Amino acid sequence: METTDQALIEGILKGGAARQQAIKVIYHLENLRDKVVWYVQQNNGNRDDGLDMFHEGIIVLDRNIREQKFRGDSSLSLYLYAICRFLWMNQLRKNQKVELKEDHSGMDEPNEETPEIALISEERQHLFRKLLGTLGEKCRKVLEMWQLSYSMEEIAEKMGLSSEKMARKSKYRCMQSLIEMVKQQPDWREQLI
Amino acid sequence: MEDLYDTIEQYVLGKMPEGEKAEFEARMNADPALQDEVAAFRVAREILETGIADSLRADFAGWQSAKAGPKPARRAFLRVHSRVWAVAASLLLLLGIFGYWRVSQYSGDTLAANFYDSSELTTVRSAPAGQGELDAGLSALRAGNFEAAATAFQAFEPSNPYYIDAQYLLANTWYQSGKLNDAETILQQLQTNSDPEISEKADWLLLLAYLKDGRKGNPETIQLLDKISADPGHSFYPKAAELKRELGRFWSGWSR
Repeated sequence: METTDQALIEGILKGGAARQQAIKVIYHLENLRDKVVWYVQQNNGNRDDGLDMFHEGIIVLDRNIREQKFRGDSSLSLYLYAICRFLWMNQLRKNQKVELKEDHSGMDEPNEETPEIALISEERQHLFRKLLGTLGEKCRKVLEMWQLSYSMEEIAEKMGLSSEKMARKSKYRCMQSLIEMVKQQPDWREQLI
Repeated sequence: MEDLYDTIEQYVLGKMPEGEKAEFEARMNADPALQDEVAAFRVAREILETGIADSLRADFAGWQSAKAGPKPARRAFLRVHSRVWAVAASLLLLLGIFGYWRVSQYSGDTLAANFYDSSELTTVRSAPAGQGELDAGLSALRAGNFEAAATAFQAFEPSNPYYIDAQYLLANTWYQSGKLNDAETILQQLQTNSDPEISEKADWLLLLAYLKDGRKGNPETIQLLDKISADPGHSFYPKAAELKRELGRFWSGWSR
């Protein structure tokens, strides 16, 4: 697969195997991974923390590209590096180790695009996983494919449904179940929004 | 209601034209139930993103283990025999960088990682709502929490109608966490299951386990690959054919 920023972004937006392949290419950008690890190691972290930040950074990058939050003002590498730094700074703040060392990686450039990052607490993630578990595997798969912009035709094909119409119906029913589950949570407006 | 979700989706994703957006917001201001629907829709999307992120974490764990270096015991062996290996290394140089590149590109580990698709990991048969343990285990597996996943799948008794599904998922847990012998034991049993969906999934995962374990050229691996790739009705026939082509490229590269 082509490894230009444009090709990687298109791959992620396309979804399915193309997205998987694009993410794999990004995952194997060893120089970038090493820089993230180095930055974390310079700032009270170890290699495993650095690798974790690199992985979490890719997760944010994938979502920001899908949600059109990456404007392309900087390269994909710089953007991912900025995300990883932000995530580690946030982690340090949580652990109250905020004295950050200077970045000599050469990647702290003035034209770096500031990433938009939504952070979800561990407790909330735990509850979300529980709800996903209750939703059931088939529904989860249909909705995740829809979230990843698969067409109804593709969803029908992958899920063995007879038609696009059935896929749409399935998506609707599953979404309805999930939304009902959300609304059944105690104080859901205060706790989940 | 179906149309309403489409409308909410457009609104939440910022894809609604300005005029419609103003109209929708006015409707929302006057209708607390609609406000709730929109808010719950946003939360539902966050929940789905959590699942998507967990699937990626599972992929990273698989890619990382494929990239990992030799096992500790092997590293110790290499240290003890460093002089012997220094001589061997100079001989290996004669084989050239090209040979090294081909070996690493087609190592069993790399091939297994390339052909293992955790995003397709699902229960073998669709379990009804209420099979919480199965889904909880699957969520833990996707999050790379192998211990929790194994505990959940092992909790299924043989009398449970979803025991076989749990066994298959347990084999995936062992496969991802590198406990390949344990994975093999389960998969060899599942291969004899009367449901072809189960036995074929077991065939394929067992083949990947052999590759991951470095048994690329072993008779059991070749035999199993031949079995799948010779049966166009096998659900992993296309993948097996592709894997065979990859391995064929490797060998033809050496014979050129």
